[in-house]
Amino acid sequence: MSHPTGGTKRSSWLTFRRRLLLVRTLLRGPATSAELVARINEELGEQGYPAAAAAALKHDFDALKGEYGCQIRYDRRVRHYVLDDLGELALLDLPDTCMEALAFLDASFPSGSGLPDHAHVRALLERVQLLLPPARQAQLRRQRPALRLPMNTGVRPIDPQVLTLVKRACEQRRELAFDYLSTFDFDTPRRHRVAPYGVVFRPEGHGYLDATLLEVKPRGGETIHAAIDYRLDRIVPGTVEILPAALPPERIPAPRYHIRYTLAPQIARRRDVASYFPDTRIAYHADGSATVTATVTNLWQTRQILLRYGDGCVVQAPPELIELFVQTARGLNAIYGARHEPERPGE
Amino acid sequence: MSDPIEDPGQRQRLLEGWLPLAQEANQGYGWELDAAALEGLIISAAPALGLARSSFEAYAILWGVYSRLRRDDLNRGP
Repeated sequence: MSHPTGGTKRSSWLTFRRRLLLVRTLLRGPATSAELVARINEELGEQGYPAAAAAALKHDFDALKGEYGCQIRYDRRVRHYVLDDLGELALLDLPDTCMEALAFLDASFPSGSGLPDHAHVRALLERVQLLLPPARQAQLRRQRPALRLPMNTGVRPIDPQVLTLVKRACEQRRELAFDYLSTFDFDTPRRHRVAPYGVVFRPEGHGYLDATLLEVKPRGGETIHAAIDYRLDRIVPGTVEILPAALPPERIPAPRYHIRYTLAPQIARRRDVASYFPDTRIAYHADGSATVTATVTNLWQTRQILLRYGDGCVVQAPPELIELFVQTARGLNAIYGARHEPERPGE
Repeated sequence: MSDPIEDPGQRQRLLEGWLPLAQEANQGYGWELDAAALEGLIISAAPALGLARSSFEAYAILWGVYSRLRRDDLNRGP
């Protein structure tokens, strides 16, 4: 004896399940009709599509469009079905905090940014957005978060093997040797033996090995036992060697310098001076200027950072840092000084 | 915030290395952390920062640790 009601229910459920599977398959990406039928049949077995599936598939597409408002189109150029909009099947909704996070990621990974490393993140975001109901999609488009991850383009990539070996040496606390092309080497790298302590990244995107120099051949201007930031992309790939020698438990102390500089009122008057160095202390003055003190070991890096203030920063200590600025000023003067001719009145 | 970096030389270099990027994040994300709080953030994030393979990862780590610390502070109450 048949049970028409139960049979109809089962049939309706199967139809609904098949259509959901179609949508899920298209969420993975565009697909040919043969791929769609194969995927459905793989999941539903005998309860999937019949041998002549084309008409049934079309019927399902029509139902998805008509009943649920899905937008599915056929791209004749590549003969694939493409899901453009989930309509009523956009079932993913998120708390406002998650929407904020999604907007943050959306702003950090803009479409068409041409960053191949992040292409998959963009694809993921687009899939998640597709699952949101239209109102939430519109909300996401309106949200313009102030926060975003800075993306750095134009930075030379770090050789993966170099990075792996450097990190391993840091973890194992063993000496490291490599050929390195510093700013002062024209085209011939020199061999450095160092005590490695860690990898750091700077805002411009470059990665550095923080290490203490033990030996360099041939010798250059470097001070032995100085703490040096080695640009990872300037370590010659294929030359990195982890040495058997273990590092002592405490780091060889690098010379420390107590720096002091004054920032002009146009930089400091909002009282939001940045802390770029350890142990920074800022004293704001009545005229809007500020005096900053801090402790550093790397004067070269300190100069690079303070140069961002231009002539709004006057270094007062230590003498070694002042000397670096004097050298920079001489160099800039050599470039620009001769070109500058003061305008005469009336000309 | 406890300070797990006992070696003063290593602590100095760790802070010196990461402060420029942390300060950039501080300004970019509007955290308004002062010098001491920024140093605390770096010390808290140090183990994870050691795993970073790009400045992008480092920013994401700092953002994550900052969010966690802020949440902990809020949960602790006044």
